[in-house]
Amino acid sequence: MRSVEATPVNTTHAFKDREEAILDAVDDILEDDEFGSAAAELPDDDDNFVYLEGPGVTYDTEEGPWIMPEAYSESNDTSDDEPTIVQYGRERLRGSKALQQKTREFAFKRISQASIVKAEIENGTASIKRPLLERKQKAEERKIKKYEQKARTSMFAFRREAFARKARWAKRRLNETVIKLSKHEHMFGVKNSESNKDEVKDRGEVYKVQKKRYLERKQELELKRSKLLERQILASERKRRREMQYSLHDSKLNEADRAILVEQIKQLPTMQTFQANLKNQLKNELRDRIAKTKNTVNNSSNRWRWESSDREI
Amino acid sequence: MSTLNRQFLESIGIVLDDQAFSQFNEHFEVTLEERIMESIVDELNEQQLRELSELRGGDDEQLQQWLRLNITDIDEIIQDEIDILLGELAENSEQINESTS
Repeated sequence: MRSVEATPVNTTHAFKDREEAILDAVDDILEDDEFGSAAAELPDDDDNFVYLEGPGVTYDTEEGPWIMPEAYSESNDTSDDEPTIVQYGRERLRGSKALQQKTREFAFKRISQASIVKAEIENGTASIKRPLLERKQKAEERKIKKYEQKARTSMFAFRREAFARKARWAKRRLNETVIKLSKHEHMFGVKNSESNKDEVKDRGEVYKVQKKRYLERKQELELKRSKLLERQILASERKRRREMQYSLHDSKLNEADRAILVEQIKQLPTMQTFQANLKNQLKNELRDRIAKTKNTVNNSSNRWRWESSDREI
Repeated sequence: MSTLNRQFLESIGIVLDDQAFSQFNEHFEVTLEERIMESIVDELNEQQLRELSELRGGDDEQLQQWLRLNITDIDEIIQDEIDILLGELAENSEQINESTS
């Protein structure tokens, strides 16, 4: 999941561009009544202007530094930080409980709808991932259009650049979604619509058969595993008993230890009893393992996972 | 109440324990809200941005009124961001599952 998009970062213009932009901004100020008072304070032609870090252009006048009104200085793109006008807007929205509540309600409703689609999957009539990917694709396409338009029409250079960059990112994301959607359709067939409902239903049947086959093969493997385990344990036990018998004839063994060993051998169950107990134990384990597998597969609608496991078998 | 639900997550292959689910839901909500906010800001022209920044001292009701007047398709914006984020969950479900197991 990608994180929240990065905030726009301004680029630095050449000195000449800045000079022209400042002159344009000054013209704007002079034409705008709202900035009449600011215009009256404009520096003389003889004043030097310097560029300082942060939003705004600072003039070094005889009376001291004079900073161009913020709203206009932003258009000169002089800051390496995101201009304040956007930050303030974002800050205002961030504090809105009503917007937060609306967002959560919308999301909750949307997820509930998606969960209804999920219920249909159980009957083999739909797939949940496809509609999610399709909706994402359409939403990304709408965003790209908006970004491209704004990259052409926004007043401020920093916004035009930011929108162009966002359009590029959104295109990249859209490509990824298109690839995933295509892979998904390759695996699970074409769109689920009224017109191909029968086809989807057929796939649902295929899905059930695959699921059954997967379980059967899993059981078969578990049974093999259990038999192998039985043989291995019996072989180890026979070896252990043989070694105990050999030890009885060891000349280095003293009488006391020999008596203990004889007692241990006497207490051992017969091999028939040992084998019967082992079989019983393994049978219980096998039953538990198969039940667990059945439970996992039956309760999972993640056909991707078990289908790929099926292929691995 | 959580925005996400486990049934939905499991249906796209994301299985989480209680603690991981709670953290994941919180991350989902924060990410969604941030993206919607960003999307609204993107929607505004420069004049509207200036007006919005001037509303900083106002209450939530004023802001809602202003949003209704200035962004007529706010519902679609929210819906699009939800669709994109849910689509991302579906796209990356396997990685999410692996990273949280």
